[in-house]
Amino acid sequence: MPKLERFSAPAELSDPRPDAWNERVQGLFAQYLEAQFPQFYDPTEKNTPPSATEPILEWTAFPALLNSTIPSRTERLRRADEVRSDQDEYCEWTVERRAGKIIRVTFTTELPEYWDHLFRAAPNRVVSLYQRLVDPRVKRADLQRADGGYKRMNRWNQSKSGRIAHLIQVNNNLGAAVDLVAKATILRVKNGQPVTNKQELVRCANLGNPLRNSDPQIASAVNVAARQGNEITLADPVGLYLGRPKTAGMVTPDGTDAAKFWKIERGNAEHTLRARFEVPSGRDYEVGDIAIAGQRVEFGGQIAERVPVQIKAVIKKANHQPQPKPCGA
Amino acid sequence: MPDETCGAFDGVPPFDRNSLRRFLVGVDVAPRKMTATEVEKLRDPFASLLLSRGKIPRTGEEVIKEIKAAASKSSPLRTQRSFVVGEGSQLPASQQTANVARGMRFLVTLGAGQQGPDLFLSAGDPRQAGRVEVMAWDPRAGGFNYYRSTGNAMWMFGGNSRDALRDPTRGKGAFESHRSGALLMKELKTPWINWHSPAANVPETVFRSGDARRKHPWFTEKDPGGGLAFEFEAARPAMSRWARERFRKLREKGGPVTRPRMILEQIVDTPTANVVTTHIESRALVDGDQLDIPATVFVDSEALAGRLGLAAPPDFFNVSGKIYAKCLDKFDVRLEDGNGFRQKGDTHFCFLALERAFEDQVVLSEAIDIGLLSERLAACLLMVDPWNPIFSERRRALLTHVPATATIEDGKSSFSAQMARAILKAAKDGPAGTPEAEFAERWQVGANFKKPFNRLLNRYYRAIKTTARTQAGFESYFRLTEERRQRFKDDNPIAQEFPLLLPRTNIPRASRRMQADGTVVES
Repeated sequence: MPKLERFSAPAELSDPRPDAWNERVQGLFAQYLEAQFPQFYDPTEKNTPPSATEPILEWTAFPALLNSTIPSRTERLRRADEVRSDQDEYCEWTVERRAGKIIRVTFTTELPEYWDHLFRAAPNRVVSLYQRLVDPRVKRADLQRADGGYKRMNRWNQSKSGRIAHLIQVNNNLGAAVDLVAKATILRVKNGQPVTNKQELVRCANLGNPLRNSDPQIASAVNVAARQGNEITLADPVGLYLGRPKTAGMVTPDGTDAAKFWKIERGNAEHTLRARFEVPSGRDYEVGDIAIAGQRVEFGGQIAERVPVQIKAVIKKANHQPQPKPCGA
Repeated sequence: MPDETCGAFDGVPPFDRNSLRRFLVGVDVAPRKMTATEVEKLRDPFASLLLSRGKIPRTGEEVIKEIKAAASKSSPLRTQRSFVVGEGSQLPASQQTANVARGMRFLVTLGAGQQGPDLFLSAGDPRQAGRVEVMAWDPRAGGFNYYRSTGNAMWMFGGNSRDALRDPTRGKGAFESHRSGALLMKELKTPWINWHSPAANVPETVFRSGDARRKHPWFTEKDPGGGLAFEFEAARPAMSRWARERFRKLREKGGPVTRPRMILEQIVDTPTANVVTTHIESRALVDGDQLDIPATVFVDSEALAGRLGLAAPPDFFNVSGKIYAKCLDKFDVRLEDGNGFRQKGDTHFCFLALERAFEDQVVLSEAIDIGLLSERLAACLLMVDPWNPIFSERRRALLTHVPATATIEDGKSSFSAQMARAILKAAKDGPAGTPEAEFAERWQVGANFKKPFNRLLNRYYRAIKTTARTQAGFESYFRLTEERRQRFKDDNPIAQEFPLLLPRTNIPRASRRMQADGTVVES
């Protein structure tokens, strides 16, 4: 494969100004200069041969940090549902209830950068999207900053319930993912030994919190590929995507396979940006009536524990002979 | 004395590899050729799509490929997923580890759905002819059929899940590891130590340069969710599937219960155990870390809290990285492969411990659901020596009082009352301090047992929390955990088969037991 002509919109959605999105993504990649990061590359600048592999890196939407810091499961499920800033695995969700029972959980991995871009390119389209996906009452003024730009942290998208549009947690963005991949191409050494394990690598290279699911997972896979002299980038369409939830073992009142309750709202099966978990109308039960391991679904986090989040890397065979750096350097 | 372990399959004399043999260890003294009628009775996909049609694949790769080819286009059997596991999978690739036996193997599943896959295959190398294991669901017999190949692809039928529960075959051959006939995933829970998973990647460098497994689709296209996906979509559904099937007739029609003692053994004893760890990588451990010690190390919370509704402990108890690191030094914790490799330090994730196996938890639930066991009896049994959730001699002693027979009618049984009466009588006739006396104490609180039991449990949780904060206190828990690991190693062939599974220490055996006040006694 020659150079990528341009970066596609996430999930290859139709885009009003594809060149502008391409430039924005190129801008993110350009921060990592070849001299400093020789094993990280921009696929629109350098060739990617057909022999390159595209491993899917996967983790779970439920924040690992909560798993290892809040001893009570009920408490951490409650907290994860209520505090969006704790949803730090490149996936966020909100829960809708009726009379206290869960009726729908909406998951998104949509990049805030893309919504910035979309608002700049076609603000009315963003308003329409909000009206369709989030709430019909959304107005353009709700989404626009005083300087005319897009207000990511608008009142609709900050909600803890209802429906959301895109990621807002401070670490959940494309810039952070690109930064992580680029920096993870640098090998590390500690006490003369190569640093290869995830948490150790993240600590050593200062790549964020070692107890998260996502960043250590990405960093580790990239670092292993770099250790073998390869070059690494992100697969087009660059983005974070939802996998199909793991529904085996979910018991529905009428025996229906709960996998049928996952509905993709943006993107497609291969590149899912947004989906809802909801029992379709016509059945006499709701999400809250489904049991997992004998317990009813009382929190969106119980679904999030089973929702995979993915990013696809590209590993191009090369013959770099990287020189490891010590921790912190 | 014939070899009746799972190693028996590899000790068989050569036979014609073009026919299936039955080797039901404990019944058959040697593999015997199965007739066409016998093979036809096996209705799992391996037998029905290949073996009964005279197709005997050589390798694991061929098994998977040929079943998929034989399955109809719409069959779930065309859904293939592969997983990678190995006790040495997280050791860095270096000169020092070049010859380590990492125990790498592939798990491949065919099928999908609420009940999990219909076929599981395990092999160290997709292209190896012998030492391939297959377990596949047989809808006619109910349960999984177990197959094993050896030598140059000589295939043997090793029995059905039900044989795990029959006297002559119990604990033998295939059922030495699959104690209750269920699928085995000893590292069932996050962070799935040893598995490729979101918690730990298994890189291709676990195989030597030039090893074809690096490029094999089972590796390159392994399920990205790894252990996580296997837990939720294969292991738990498969274990629950077998447990449901095992008790199906009793649930639907009632009738006599075969060998109730066998069911109770899975509830009060420890036929097998699962492995749990903290989420902290041992190589990344720093003094400021808070290790999340799983609560199931201290209490059978899944049964007591999850099934019986008693007071839940926190999911884990914290211990500081500083305290833990001192234990590693003091107890000379290390990994050894039994072949010259030695590495100072802990397993990949810190604090590998054992908890009650999920396959036994589902049996508890089933026994209650079918009406065999009342919640009160279950709670009173499990509240005897609850401080030792596994390997409790005191709870095991109660097995002598299990009635020889039981019958279920309309979802009810007199079994619980009979067993309680037998224990109470023994308590009355015996001295103080016996397990029976402890049971009697629990029983006498009456049907509203939750409050008084919760008081005991909550007091115990507080004691653990306090003790784990001190160096000496946590060291006692470390020693207790090592005691249990050694016990597990004695009882489970899998622990002997994979020397890197458990860390080694300088802690000698001392029959340690936890007590109600959170202290550990040695004898």
